[in-house]
Amino acid sequence: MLVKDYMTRHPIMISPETLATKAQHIMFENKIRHLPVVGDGKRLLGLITRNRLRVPPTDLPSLSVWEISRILSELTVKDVMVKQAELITISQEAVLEEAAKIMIDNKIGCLPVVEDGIVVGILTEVDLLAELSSLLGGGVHGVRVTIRVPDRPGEFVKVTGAIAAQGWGMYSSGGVPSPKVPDYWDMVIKVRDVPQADLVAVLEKIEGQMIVDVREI
Amino acid sequence: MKNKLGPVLKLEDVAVAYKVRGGEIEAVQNVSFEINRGETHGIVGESGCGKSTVAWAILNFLGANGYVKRGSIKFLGQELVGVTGEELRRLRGDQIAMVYQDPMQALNPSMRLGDQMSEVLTVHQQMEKTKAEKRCIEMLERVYMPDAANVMKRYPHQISGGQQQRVVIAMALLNNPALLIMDEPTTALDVTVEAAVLDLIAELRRDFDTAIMYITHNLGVVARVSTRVGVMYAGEMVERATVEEIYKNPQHPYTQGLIRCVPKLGADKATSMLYPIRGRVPPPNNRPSGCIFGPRCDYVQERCRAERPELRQTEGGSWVRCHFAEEIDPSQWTSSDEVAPPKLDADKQHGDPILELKDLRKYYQVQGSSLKDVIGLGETRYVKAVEGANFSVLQGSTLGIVGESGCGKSTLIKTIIGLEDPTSGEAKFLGVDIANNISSRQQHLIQELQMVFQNPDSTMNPSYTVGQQIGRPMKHFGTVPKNQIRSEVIKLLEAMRLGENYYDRLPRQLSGGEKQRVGIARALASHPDLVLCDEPVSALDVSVQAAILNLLLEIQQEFNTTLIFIAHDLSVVRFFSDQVAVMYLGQFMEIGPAEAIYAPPYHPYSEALLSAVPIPDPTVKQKHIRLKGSVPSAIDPPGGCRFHTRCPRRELLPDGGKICEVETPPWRQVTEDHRIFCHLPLEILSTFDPVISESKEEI
Amino acid sequence: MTVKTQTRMQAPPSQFQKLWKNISIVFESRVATVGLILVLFWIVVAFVSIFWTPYGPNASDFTQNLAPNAQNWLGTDHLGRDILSRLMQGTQVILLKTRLPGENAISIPGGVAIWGVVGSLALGTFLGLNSGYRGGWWDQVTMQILDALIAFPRIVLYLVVISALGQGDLVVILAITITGAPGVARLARSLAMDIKTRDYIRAAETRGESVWFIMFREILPNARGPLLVDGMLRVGYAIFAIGTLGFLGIGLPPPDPDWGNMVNDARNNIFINQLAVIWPSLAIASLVIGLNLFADGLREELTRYQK
Repeated sequence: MLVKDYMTRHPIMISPETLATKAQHIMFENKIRHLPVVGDGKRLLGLITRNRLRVPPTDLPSLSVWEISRILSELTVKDVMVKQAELITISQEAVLEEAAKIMIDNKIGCLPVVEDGIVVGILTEVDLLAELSSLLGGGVHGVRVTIRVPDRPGEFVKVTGAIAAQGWGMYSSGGVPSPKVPDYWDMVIKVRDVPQADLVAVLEKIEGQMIVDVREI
Repeated sequence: MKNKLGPVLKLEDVAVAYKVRGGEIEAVQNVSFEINRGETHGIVGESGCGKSTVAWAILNFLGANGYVKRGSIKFLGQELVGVTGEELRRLRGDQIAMVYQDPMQALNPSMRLGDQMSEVLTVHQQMEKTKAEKRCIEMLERVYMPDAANVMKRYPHQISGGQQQRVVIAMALLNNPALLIMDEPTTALDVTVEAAVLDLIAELRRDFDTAIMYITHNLGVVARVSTRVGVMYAGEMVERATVEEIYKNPQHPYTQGLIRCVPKLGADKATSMLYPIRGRVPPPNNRPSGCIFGPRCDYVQERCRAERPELRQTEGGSWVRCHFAEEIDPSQWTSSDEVAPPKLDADKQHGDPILELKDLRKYYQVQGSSLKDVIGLGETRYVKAVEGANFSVLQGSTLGIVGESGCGKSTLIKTIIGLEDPTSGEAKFLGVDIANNISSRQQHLIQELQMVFQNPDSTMNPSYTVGQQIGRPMKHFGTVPKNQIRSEVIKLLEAMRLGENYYDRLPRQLSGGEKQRVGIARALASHPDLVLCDEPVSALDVSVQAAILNLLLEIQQEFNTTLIFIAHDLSVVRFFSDQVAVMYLGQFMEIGPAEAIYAPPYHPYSEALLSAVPIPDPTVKQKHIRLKGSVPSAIDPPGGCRFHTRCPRRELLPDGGKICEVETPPWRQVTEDHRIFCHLPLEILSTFDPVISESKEEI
Repeated sequence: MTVKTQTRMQAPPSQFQKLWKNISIVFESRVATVGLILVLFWIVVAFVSIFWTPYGPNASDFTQNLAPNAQNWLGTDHLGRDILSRLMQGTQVILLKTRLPGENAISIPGGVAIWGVVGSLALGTFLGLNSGYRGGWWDQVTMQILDALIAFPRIVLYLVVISALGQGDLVVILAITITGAPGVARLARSLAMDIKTRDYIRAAETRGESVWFIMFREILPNARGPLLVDGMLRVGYAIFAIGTLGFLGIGLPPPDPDWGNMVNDARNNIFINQLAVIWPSLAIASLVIGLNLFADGLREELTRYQK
């Protein structure tokens, strides 16, 4: 689960001399929200986001329609992009949670992935959500069980052991500290090709653990 | 998930036109397709169908007189048509790379490979020299280049063709392009090398998420590399579908025709037939109105002539340009008389041996470059081009010879026909000794031994008409009285399915297939007993290839001619031959009936060759055997078994196959006429699985 | 497309149409057209001079060293002969006639320059094809000898030939042949070496055709184009050579005027009549340039057609 496995390679990029209106058009047409700005050799120079293309009214000297369209028609990407100095990037060898943390801390939706100053891809919040979805087995049919287990070593093994003993296999699993319940963890697992009742019967036998939620999706 | 950004390349209704004297020619019309990240889109079609033109249009390499007339080409969501100069360069940046058929086109012969490669990085990305070199070595290792650091110091001519192509691919990938256009990148390579390059392409596509546009004429190659395929015909895309769909369920009559043209690996002439497509591809300035394929289509109806079909999506999900795609059932298809393949006498008995070779050798002396060699004291060294050729050919049968380039196939043929003197050994043709030069042979012997050549463009003398060239052997050998030559030539032309009106034509007025027919007619003009065919179909398009193969079969049937057939295409050889010989580095590795060669037990080299053949059927499971390294030099061929340096099966012998390096292997007699030249005992050879696992019923 | 037109048009194009089609490619190239006009001009002048010149070319009817005037358009020379008439007459020996030695003074058609080039083409092609096709020792020996000939200063070679054989049209032809042949041979050799790798040569060999058949029937027709163009250029060089020889006084013998000789004569009076030097020089230059342009343009068009 490294950045390089989840990023989008070969993102759409534009050059700094492009007109801002053109950039807007490209973003609209391709339904994207971020455009890395690159120079020769795909060297990262900046980033365009949708926000950046909104010109605040205070920047406009007068509100004449002609004036606005004149300013807009002369505006280039270079003028509106997030400059390199203030741009936050990530390396493709970084792990995903690292990327997620950076995005949360800075409240940004996109990280250009850069190697030696050269853009190799782009990682957006959608990519992270995609990872979350596949981590929990999204889109795959099976029985999804949430189990609340005490926060101590050896609890996870009990679950996997019980499932393996039946000759079943877990498709996906994940765990987070139980919300609002200290000293407990919520484990989410998904098992395929198993009747829900059988699975519940097996899991209920494990001592000290509690099934919080069961559903077949 | 990968495609949330839309396709890397999207062509919509593109038409490319060339301005010529007195107007313009639309070379390509209405081509639409798209390629996503990590996808290989194959473009197949015969030569002159506009495949490369599409690639050039994307790259804006159309030359001074070509331009995109209509449509849009979007690369990474941005329009390329109508954009020129600096802006185009910026748009495209280093994000599109191209790999050509001939790697030497892309490599500078006077620069070291390392310098050429690192220049890509130092110039474009302003990378430091040492760092760039490190990256290059990594990339070379990535494309499985043996001894990468050393290759960096060499010049292009110092590495083999397959390795050159690897360097070109590595160079293309250095910039991490979003789109890689490959124009017949493996056509000039041997099957074993081709297989390795194709594996590499598939792997790189996954790892780098590159969109690949793969242009080829070979249906087998497309089946192996592509995820989706577009079929082009006469400048139009006539069908577009996933690779499985194209082969399992071809919708357009042209696609169906193409698939019927190529022999399946394992099919032979007794049980299956090839059906060429009648007619030829119309030139771009004279395309028919209505459906472009109409004049060659077996299902053509009034509507096809009147109305040009649009590319539309069928229920199966594939796109097809045909009015009646749903109504056409290929399984009900029968060939029209015009192209009907010859009916073969299935249990024809072959006569007595017509050609017998015993231990025939051909060595070429090579001059060393040391001082010793110059004054004549150096050890004389030899290129051992053919070593111990030992076989006989029965009257009326076909012997196929296969092997990689440089294995001595052509030398063997030249020695038989007398263009080269054999070094030692015996050769008897019709009971007469022919281990000599053609100049010392009797006229009537020369007449019985003729040859068909590979290259249709050089097989005919451009200065003489068809009639003169076919008539010349008759005049020369005096087989036909002078006043009957014309009628005799016309008879032959008709046998070649060319009419009398070809008599006065010059070679430049003929297509490749027609030239090849004339070449065959010329070889047959003296009614030879044995015709040597040196890759007679490898330079032709598949539909023409099928017609020529059928023609040769027909002739053989009619005149009881014996054929020796050299080809590198194993499916063709299997289809065409009764006996097959496998050569490696001048040495015969296996010889036997065709069906025996293509099933276990086989020589490890035959096995490797078979597993490398691209099969035009993506569902077939093929064993994955790739030979290491390249063919060693014939000047100092490896001792013992010549194949031991690359043999993947040596380990089966005790001591890791020590014996293979030291001792010449014995001929293992499998059946009376099937021999294998290997140290491995037959019991082990018989345990190999068949290379191609596929239930027989499916064929 | 070709199929259809061929089958419909049963009557083949007439010989004249074919010829015109071949000739018309000259006009595709502006360079060749200009060259052709220059050359045709001189050919016409040569023909006219057979029947008519303004005055007798060898008659000293006028005042010596006249500048151009209404009567003598180009002036007169040091013996009072009309330069225009001499210039016109001078084209004949170069382009139209060769005077055989002997009392009767018989002339055969074809000028000295033409025959000289024909000779060097014939000799050079023969040697070149032999070297190129046979290769080996034959090639080594022939080419060494020809290289030695090329290395020899050309003027000296002319002097040697002419002082050994005496003056005369045939001797000049021989001199041109010998100096031109090595160049033609080199070209023919390289063409033969290229063409002999083609499969149709292999086919002829497997038919057991004789070496001569292969060289002259299979290879030569395909080498014809470049050789003819080279020959055209060589006519220019030959004219140049004739001019040089004339200037040195060992060129074409009298009575016919010789352009080179005219330059030499006028040179002696250059301070009296400057223009007399210009006219014959201009004649030589324009004819040579015309031939060069024509050959160059033709070569360009021919190679373009091959592609």
